[in-house]
Amino acid sequence: MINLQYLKWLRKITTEKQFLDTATDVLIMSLNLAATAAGGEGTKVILSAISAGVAGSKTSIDKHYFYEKTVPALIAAMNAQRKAVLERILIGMKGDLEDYSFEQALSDIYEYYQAGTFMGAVMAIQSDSGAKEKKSDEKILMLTKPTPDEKEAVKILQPVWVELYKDAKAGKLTQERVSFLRKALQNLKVETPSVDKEVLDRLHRLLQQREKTAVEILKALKDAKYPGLQ
Amino acid sequence: MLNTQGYNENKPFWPFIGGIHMKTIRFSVAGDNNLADINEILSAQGALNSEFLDSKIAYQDQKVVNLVTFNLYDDATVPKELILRKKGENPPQNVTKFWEGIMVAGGNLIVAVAYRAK
Repeated sequence: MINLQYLKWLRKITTEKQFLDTATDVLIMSLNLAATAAGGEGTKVILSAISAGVAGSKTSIDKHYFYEKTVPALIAAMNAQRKAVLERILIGMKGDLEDYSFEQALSDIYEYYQAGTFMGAVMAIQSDSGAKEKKSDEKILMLTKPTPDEKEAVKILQPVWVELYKDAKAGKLTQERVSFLRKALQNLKVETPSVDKEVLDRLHRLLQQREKTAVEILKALKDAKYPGLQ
Repeated sequence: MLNTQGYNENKPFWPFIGGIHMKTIRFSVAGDNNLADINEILSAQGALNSEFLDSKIAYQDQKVVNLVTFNLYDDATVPKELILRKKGENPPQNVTKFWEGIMVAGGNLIVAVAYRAK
């Protein structure tokens, strides 16, 4: 019964979605055509406005777009959850009544039903992402609008990177310049790689990953007396 | 020392995209920024030799944010200008569309399209 209801529901939402898309598109096209065909300017304006309203309400909310993006993910989560619970039920059914009690079976059937609901899918996704979050210790930095000082520092630094990477690629990065970069890293109080060729990348990554700001890196290079930056 | 945010030197997040191994990093952008501000924020990261790849809706500190992914260039390359538009708006000229998805801008969910100057 639960399986039948689930399949019926899946079929229903798919049909409704297609109907909604088609109905809205046809209505927009009809109103646009009517506006073009209408003689009076006032009528044209009104019809176009209605058309824009219909299109606007469709595109601004973009219901069908969200639907396309989210519903398949939810259904995938439902299917996965249902499969997991069904496996438990089937394994339980093979055992004795003492091992798999009537109460446990009822509880599993209820869970099986729940797994086939949007709410069950959302809960499964949330608990899954929560578990993944616990495994990962990554902290996501929030980007903000750059300050004028930041923009200025980036402008000054960009030609420095270009020159350094060009020379590094050509094998012309001198020991002297690497030592300036090392000093800059020390000024920033970050770990300095022992291998020369990694020093430039380390400094560059600090900026790309926003561990240090462009203003901080520029100051560190200036303090290290990097040629051309004083 | 500050955590390396979405990137870890020891365990880099290197997806295999289009046959090229890419070093990527994730940042978040607050959803109360309007789309023009988000465009500026992403462009500023681009100026740090990073290429915007895509964005997803996520929750961070009880707020809806845009979780954006960047490819980190291994040199001083600056990607071409990034232009974000709401879906349905006229695209700018001489651009290539490279991404479309849901973003939160100005506190609202919108469908955004990302273009890159040719």
